Amino acid sequence: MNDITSLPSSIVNWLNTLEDLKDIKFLTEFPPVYKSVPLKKSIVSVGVEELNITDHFTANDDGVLIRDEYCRTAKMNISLIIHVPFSMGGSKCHEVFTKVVNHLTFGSDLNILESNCEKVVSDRNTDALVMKAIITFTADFCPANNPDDFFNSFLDKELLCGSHIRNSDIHITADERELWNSHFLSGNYTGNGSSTRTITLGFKPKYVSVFPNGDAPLSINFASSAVETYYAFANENGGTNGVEITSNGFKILNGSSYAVGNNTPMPNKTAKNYNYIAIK
Amino acid sequence: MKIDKLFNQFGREAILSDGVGWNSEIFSCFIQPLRYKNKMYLDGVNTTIGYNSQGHYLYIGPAQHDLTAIENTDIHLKCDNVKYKIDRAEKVYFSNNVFYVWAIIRTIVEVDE
Repeated sequence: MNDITSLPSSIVNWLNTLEDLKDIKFLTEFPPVYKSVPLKKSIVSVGVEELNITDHFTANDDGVLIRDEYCRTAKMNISLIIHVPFSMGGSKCHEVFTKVVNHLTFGSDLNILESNCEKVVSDRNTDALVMKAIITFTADFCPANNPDDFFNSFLDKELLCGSHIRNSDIHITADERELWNSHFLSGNYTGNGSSTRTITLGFKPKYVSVFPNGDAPLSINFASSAVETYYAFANENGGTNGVEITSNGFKILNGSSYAVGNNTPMPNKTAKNYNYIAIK
Repeated sequence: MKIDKLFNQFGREAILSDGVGWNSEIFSCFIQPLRYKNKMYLDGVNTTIGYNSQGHYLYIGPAQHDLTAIENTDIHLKCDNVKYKIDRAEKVYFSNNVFYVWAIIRTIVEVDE
């Protein structure tokens, strides 16, 4: 059910479940079924008599009424046409009316403003004593994820603001939200001296930097004119000679095999502590 | 004047039943569609509680089965497995004797309630 006609159906389905109303059959008006001949029990048809929709306003913290973009206030007249077999007499119409109004008033979350009934008449087409009743109520006409859950919001959210919901330019995906909330990862490791070492992150970073923890970024041996570098950077296009980005993290390159000139990358020196930052 | 011979020779077999065990003996009668007049809806009527097919029939049956005396509203006429509700019944007299019984009957529509 995803339009306003779901309300009479919802009411009918709910009333048909009530033990106290087992002797009454509820259906939506003009159902595509045969009417029983002769009528054996009371039957009530439920339909929409009139509907008025106006803008919905909510007071903000300053008491100023702000118009809700997606909510409306609905004033609705629900018609109950009560049919009673001739053998039960006209008073049965009033009994049915009273029972139904009691349940709708105290058993549902409908905000009922008033209930009225007309006089009982005899109807040849239905072979019944017939009484029409009108239930007037207001409702916050706000979209709901499941309009069958309760009566106050009976319009499907997808129906009322589907164009808004489906506009991907103004909404973020779950992946995008995850990325925004944790767009980088930092960590640390202790060097083990191996020439290569893979650090697994669970994603392919766009940028990664490695640097020593509590130590100088490099060490220069002036006697041999050699440099050990303990930091490294890389992005998707490449980086310094001590680190490479992989599909699931990064790989550190350690030792003379990866030296450039006299500069030897040492991002995995034994027992040295390193930090890293990886940006998604 | 007896017309029982006509019923037996040309009529349809039917019974009266209360639906819960009592059945009359089988008898013969005439059941024919009612002649429709102005302002009668041949195709039935859609009402707020469902479609009313309004299948009315004219019944002419033997005087021994007095449909006018039936008080139990559950008693109905059954013919070829079709049930008929008796809407109105009258005795038709010839002199001082009941000649036959005339009735307007209607197809019973049983809906799961």
